[in-house]
Amino acid sequence: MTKNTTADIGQKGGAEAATSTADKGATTKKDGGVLYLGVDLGTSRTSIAASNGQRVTLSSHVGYPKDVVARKLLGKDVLFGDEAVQHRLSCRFYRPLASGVLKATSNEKTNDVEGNMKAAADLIREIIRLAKPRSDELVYAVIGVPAEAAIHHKDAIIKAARESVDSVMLCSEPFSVAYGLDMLDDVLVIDIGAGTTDLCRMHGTMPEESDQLTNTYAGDYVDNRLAELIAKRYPEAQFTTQMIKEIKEKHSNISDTMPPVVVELPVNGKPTSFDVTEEIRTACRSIVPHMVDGLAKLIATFDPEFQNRLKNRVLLAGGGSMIKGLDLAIEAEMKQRLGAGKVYRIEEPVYGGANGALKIAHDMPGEYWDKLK
Amino acid sequence: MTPEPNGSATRQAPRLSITQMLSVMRVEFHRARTQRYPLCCLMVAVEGVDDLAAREGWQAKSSAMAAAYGLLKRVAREHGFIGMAIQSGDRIMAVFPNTSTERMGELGRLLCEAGAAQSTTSAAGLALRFALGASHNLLAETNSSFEGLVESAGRALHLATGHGGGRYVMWREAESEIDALRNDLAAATKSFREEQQTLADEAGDAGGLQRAELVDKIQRIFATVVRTPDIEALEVRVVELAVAELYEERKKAVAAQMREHARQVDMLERRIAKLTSVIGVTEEELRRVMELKMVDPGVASIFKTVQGLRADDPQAQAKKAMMSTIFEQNLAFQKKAAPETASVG
Repeated sequence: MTKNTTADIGQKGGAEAATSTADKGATTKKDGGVLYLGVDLGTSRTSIAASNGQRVTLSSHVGYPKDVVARKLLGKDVLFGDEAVQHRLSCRFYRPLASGVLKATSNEKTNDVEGNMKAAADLIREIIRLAKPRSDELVYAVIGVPAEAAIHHKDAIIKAARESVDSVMLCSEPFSVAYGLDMLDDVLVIDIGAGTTDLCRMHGTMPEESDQLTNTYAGDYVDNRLAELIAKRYPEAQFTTQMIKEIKEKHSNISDTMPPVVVELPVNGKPTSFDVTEEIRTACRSIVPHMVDGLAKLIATFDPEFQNRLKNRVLLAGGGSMIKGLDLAIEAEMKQRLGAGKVYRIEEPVYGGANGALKIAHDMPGEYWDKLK
Repeated sequence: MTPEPNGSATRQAPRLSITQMLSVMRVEFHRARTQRYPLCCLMVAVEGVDDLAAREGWQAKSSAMAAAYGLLKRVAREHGFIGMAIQSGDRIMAVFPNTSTERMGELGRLLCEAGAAQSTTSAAGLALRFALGASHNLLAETNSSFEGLVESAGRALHLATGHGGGRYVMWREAESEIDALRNDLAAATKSFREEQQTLADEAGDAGGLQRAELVDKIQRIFATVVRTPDIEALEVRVVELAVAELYEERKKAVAAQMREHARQVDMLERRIAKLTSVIGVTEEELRRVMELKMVDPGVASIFKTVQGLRADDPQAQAKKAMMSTIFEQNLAFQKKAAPETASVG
């Protein structure tokens, strides 16, 4: 024995705990258990947190091989995430949650409504599969969706999820972030996704419609703005939306003292260096005024006695919150327009929504799950 | 507990708290799972320590457990088993990374033998009679979580203690079913023995009655003839012969019935042994096929039952209302969505 220890008789824990587990095991009927899933269905990334300890994030892209040759080359019927992005030229490529909701009206390139819905369903199935549920367990899932998702979008999400889980519920994304952090009272949550920015006012009860705002000044807006600015300053540079997105994710910064950003973009096939520092700063800053507009609306319509408290408890979540200096920029803008403001970043921007949804699933009484089966 | 010297390579093991040691065990478990090597968990109980405590006080129980722990350490060291153990209350739990089920079985056998040879330090100087339950990390139920592994070892220990201890049980999926069969067999054997006894008694009683009847008949026949001393001697001789013959026949009938019972018991025992062996082979094959086919059985949840909101949550009331609202919203939405779906269909 290389390691050993003893404990006084009567000491709680350790082997006694193990023994009690063992004794319990001897008498408990063997069953599969209950697996809870919390899913954050985002435009850019879909994340899942499960009660078996699995946490997975996947970029929200789905690709289907265009023809037999592509199928043979890729060796798969469906590609997900970065793999789909990588092989998008040989695939029918979908980003089913563009604009924060299921694109049931048209796809960016194909106008393929059915394809989009199928891609969303496949994406949900895949993310649930990645959480490794066991076949003998009851699986209960809470899926965070944008507050303003339309009813047929929600229905499609539920239908897709039902194939893999026993019972499913939807809840608003910013609410799940706040619930996950136990910040239910006098908090303003800003959930910056790729498609939408959701703002939610928490005041100790379930937020109503008037407590939530959604706008499209989010990650995709920053990408488009950055593309415009680069195209304007360097008309000779060639780039795609995907390249712009990668540049933004790597260098996004809003501070005045940000280090210079020099990227290589092709010009007539030759890689050329371009300084895009100012473009990145401007593009990232462009969402701040719209965000503070939303904050101002939610604060102004709140009980005057608690407005100050609300201003000082702003929670920044979602992938967009990873823009360096964004919290300080929002604080500065709030101070200028609302007199004060304190912004906190959540610790895990990628999993904040999924963690909250998982917590909701855990706290949901059993009879509610049964009724929704 | 101070580690005992072991040749020249002795080194002082770090003294860790139980929580720390459990964390180390958990780390070893996850490493074994990631790197796909076998790991076994062993649960040890000493039979009769509670009686010992009742007779000689808690110190005797404490010293018996300490002796058992020391013995486990010694046997493991002497035979090259590397692992870690914790002892608390009347249980010892040990985890052995890189140890196959066969090796674990060997350790179980060695421990049972060593325990029988070593006496406790109690006044009675009783032998240490171990009950050993083990589990390995190669089953679906034990591979997903450390708690599952420990729980299975606990179940195996429960089976081992169920028959008076002194044995080692390795947990397998069908172990409880096989154990139930063993219990059935034990009950059947007991019932057969009782039945045999009853048969023997009945045979004796019936034999007595029949004997008396036969003697009466013989005597009635002899009463019809003129009684002389020769005839009387013949009568006694005939009666003795008839009774002896009757007794032999009865004995043969009972023996035949007993042989039939013994044959049934033997057949059941053979079936259990064959079943055990077949299940073992099947489990091994299943595991091998799953590994070959890269079949992932999934990862078990840490929850066995539906949880719900904790009553001691500081925001329980607010959260309860929120849960209710979320549920009602979802219910209303699903009701609203259903007709739409129906009309589309």
